[in-house]
Amino acid sequence: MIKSKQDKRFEVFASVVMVIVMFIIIFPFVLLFISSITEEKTLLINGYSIFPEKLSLAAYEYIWNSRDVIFRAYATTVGVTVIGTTLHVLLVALVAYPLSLRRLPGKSVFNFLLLFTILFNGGLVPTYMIYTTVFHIKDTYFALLVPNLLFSSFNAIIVRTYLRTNVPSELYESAKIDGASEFRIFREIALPLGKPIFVTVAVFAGLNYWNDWTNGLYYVSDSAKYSIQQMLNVMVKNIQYLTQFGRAPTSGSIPSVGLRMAIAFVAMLPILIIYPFLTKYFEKGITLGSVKG
Amino acid sequence: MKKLLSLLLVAVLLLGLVAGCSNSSQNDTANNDSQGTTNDSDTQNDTNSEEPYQVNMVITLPATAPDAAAIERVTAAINEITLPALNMTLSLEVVPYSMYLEQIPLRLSSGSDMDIFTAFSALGPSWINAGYIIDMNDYLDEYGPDIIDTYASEDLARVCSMDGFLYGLPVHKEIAQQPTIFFRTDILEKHNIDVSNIKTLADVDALFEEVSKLEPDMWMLAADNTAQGKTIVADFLGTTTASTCVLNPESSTEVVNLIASDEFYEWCDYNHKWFEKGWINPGAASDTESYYTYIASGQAFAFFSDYGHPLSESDQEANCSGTDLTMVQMGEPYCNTGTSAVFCYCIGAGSKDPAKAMQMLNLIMTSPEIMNLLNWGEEGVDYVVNEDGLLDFPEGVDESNVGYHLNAGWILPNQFMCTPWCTSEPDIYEQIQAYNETAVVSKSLGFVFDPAAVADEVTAVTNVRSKYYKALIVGAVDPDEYIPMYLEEMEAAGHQKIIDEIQRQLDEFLANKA
Repeated sequence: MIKSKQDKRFEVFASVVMVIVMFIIIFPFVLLFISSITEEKTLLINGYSIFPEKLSLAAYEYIWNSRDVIFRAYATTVGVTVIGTTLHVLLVALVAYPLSLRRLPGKSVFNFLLLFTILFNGGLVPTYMIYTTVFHIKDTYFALLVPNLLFSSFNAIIVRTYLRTNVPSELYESAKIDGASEFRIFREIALPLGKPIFVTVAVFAGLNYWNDWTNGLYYVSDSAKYSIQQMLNVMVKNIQYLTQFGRAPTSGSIPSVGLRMAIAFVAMLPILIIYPFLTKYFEKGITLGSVKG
Repeated sequence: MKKLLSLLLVAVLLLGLVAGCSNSSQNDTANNDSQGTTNDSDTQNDTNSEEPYQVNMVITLPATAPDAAAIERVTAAINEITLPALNMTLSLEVVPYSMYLEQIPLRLSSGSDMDIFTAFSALGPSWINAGYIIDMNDYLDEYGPDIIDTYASEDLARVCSMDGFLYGLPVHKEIAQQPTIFFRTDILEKHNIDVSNIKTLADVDALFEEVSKLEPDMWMLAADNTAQGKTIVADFLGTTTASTCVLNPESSTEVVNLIASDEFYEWCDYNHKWFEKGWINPGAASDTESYYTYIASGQAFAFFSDYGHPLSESDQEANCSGTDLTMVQMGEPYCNTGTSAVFCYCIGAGSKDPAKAMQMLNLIMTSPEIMNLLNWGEEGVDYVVNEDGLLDFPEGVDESNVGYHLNAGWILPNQFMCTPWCTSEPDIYEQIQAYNETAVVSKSLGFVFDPAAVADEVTAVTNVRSKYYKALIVGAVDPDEYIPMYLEEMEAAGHQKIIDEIQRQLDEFLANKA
């Protein structure tokens, strides 16, 4: 295809805009990283800067030296994310697949229930009561796992719509004629054909688990069960306390600015690495699911 | 079908009836129980026939909590004391401060059975209005006579009261604040500067002038944008807008607008001058970093503080990562409701038996053994007594590997019962008590403002405050220009109505007291 002058101009213009947007997105990450390797005093006096006067790896050394605490939190986050995401996708698939079938009896009731829980929920206090007095998840790993697992009707609806519009029902019928059981149809037709949307949902859920600190805040006070995000939150709060009441926390000194930046950077590193490999599914899944639904 | 439905209906109704009955009968027995304990407490020796009552206690700490096994070990040791004495057991939970503001209100509003817990006294009024906590007056009279004796005066014991509703018992610590300034000792020594005569902001100004010439790269002052001008002696009467107070509270009871006062103007004016000269950290107005960080990093020279008590210098040095500091007291220690009860211990509305909770609190606050256990852990495991009678880590144990070591007497019920740690002076608690006696007491001591009647105005004024306050107190803006603007907006937000309401409540309080 020969490009007209107009096309070329558009391409140049689009590239320039995209580059600018990319810089705006990347800038905070770069700044965060540079701050984490800036020498503490330089950071305090000059503030955050992309070109600091002095560099230092003290923060990362500190992380390495206190690795038993920090890596423990890291392991908690990784564990919760992996288990949580797997369970989440499985649950969503098990709910969404039957709902995508036209022959499911009582479908409208189930659909209504799904939709209803998106719009209405019990609110924080009743939720807290149920979790602590009925399920007793306080100070257990379940506190980090369960709450996010159950608020997934939105994802279930996306998946349902995707499966309904992209997997022809004739496929299921032919499988049935060939003698496949319901579970086998689910496993060998619905799951592989819905891969883009399942990856999308997995990314949603994974990010959600990875970045979650509110559940830790509400339900976990045992320091051995902190996730990495909660640990950051605890550090920041301790500093607030210090300024407010003029008493240092009982043990250890206040983590420096650089250290907080370094932990934040370490905490998002895995996401930064994994994310690019998932985007191809992500785009496909999201557009297919939403546009055709 | 209809038959089935009606049957179902009958079944449900019956069930409700039964449930209702069983509830009320439970209540009856509970009432009997508590009456039982009333009698029992007179003859405490034969309580053992009853099932021990478990008191749930929650302590807040600005640090990570000890692990669960260590807490269990310590509570087991505490229970060896409480079981024979009261036939009660203690279940202890340590909630880090970082979660306190979210977790505790959640628990209170979900009716958790917390009996005793640490509270920020400033939150008391809103928690009373929400029905989270109980009035401790009657229980204190009946079950806590020994507690009252641990305070210097009965007024101090009942200082956490709002309109006659006693919501908490203040933690034993220094009850006064004091206008104070801290300097880096190394700089003072380097240039041989004497700071002992510093008393006013003008003195500080002259000193900064001198030091800034000697140390041109340094910031003279690490500013704190969270508190009011720390040289201003005022009683804020439990209000939260930081603008209504009584100035000269030892003699006056007139509620005034702090922002319109000469004291506030003087503070802002000096700070503005210093800020303009580059003597204050340039980001002060929006900084979320603690000012201690700037001292610790060697960049700043001085900071103002409210804390002038005997422990303060070592406290602040610890806050500044061990930087050697020199403390100069710029005024007399002053005591009011806010300073004498920063933290208190409350009994939750969900407590199954407040009377027993109070008995437990009474025992904790008067027992050196329990207080030592709470603060320092078990003897022989977490600490040993050294030859001076002070406490120290056992052989091979230090701060990094000790099992239970809160070292937070100032947030525990009664640290004066504890044995001091070897790093502090042996008579440190006597020193604090002596310091407390030197404090100038506000005439309005014990008054806490109930903002319910003017809640809208308070919100409006707080919003105005967030626009001006920080920038003014760190000197980032010109007070001649901004204070009038601030005042005008406050007026429009209904500030006078708040002042009138506080004055009305205060007059009533003073009339009742007299």
